[in-house]
Amino acid sequence: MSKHQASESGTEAPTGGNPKPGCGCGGAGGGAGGAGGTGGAGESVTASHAAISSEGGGEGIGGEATVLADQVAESFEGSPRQGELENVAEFDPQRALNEGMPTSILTDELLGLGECRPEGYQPETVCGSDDRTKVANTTVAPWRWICKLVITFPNGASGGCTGWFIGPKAVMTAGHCVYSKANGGWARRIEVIPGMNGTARPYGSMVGTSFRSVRGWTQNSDPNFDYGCIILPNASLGNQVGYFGFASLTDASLNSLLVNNSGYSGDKPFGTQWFNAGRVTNVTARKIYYMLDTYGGQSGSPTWRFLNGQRHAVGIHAYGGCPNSSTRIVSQVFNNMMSWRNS
Amino acid sequence: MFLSRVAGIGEGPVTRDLSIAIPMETTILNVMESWPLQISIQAPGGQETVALSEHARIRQAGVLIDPGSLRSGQRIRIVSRNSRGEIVELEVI
Repeated sequence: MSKHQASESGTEAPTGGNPKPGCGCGGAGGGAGGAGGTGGAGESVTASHAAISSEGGGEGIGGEATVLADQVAESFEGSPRQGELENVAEFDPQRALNEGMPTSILTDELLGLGECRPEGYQPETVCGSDDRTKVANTTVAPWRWICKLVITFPNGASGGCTGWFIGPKAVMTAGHCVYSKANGGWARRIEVIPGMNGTARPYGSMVGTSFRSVRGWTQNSDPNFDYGCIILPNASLGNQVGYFGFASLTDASLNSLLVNNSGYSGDKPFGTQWFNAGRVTNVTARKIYYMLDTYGGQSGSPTWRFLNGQRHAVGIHAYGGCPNSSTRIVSQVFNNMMSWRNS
Repeated sequence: MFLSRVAGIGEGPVTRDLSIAIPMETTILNVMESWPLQISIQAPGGQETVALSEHARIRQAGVLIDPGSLRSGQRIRIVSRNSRGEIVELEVI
């Protein structure tokens, strides 16, 4: 299923129809960081998804730009359906599901125009009432697949993010958690702590110093390509806790899908994991938007579909702002993840 | 304008331009939910990504507000940054 193609000379045209937004209404989305960027002037989407390693090598993974059919890791053969909510004690699904606004009309271009947002727009990344629920037992799946990340950047800054196992040695996260221009580039080291629960580290931890991302993020800082991976030195931790499946789903499969998310929020007691769930409110070529409550520290956390007992991540949470958003797992992301899983 | 020296993996120390004038008014383009937050802003030379310090003070109308209130599209004034270039004090305009 995974397709590995040289991407340095990719000629595939961007397919998302995401021209950079105009600069009306305060010009919020006019820069390269606007949600509609395509990875740099004149650069193809395939080239933007070219994998980049912290050791300096490009891996040259490419693939289709358009999601034509659901694509899933392992043996899941799903068809477009609605998802299910994880069963988390004290989580009120009715309140969470009723939050939100009709954002289906919003495109990447409109979302880039911050001051043009509709009346009633909630400014907090906690959207409306705070529905986040603490995960009490992090030693069962899927919570033990989710990891607190303690990051040391080259400028000496430290930070926190969330990651999740996608293979025995591979921990998926946001691109800005492994490569931060603001903090000097590639992280120096990241401690991965699966299932951390307060001061408890039920599986110990492991330090990664080898990272992956893609050119669209490391070179162009394009939020559409904000994803990365930590390659751990050995498989002992991943084999112990297990790992997520993941899927590249069509627009039809993603629209209004019930999705789950859990991560290590920075405003909560250190090392505690917080869950939320809700519906996808909008899907664009490379992003998934929702009103799930998130907070700083949850970058890199999995946004997943739970269906028929199977869990497949469909996005990598990265951005706040209500609606909050994940980098969508499209075919090129899926292909890179398959490659990293098999590292 | 000030400069900081930053060592990258596999390369010698490099000089990174942290040349945003202080104070500076700009627009938030994106809010990245690492902790501390990182934000991309519209800088004079184009887009720039800046990290907030862990204890950054964020004010709106003189009142301290939560970092979780930051969102894309907001006009902000960066009041001070530390030697690493992290935002220490910021106002939402």
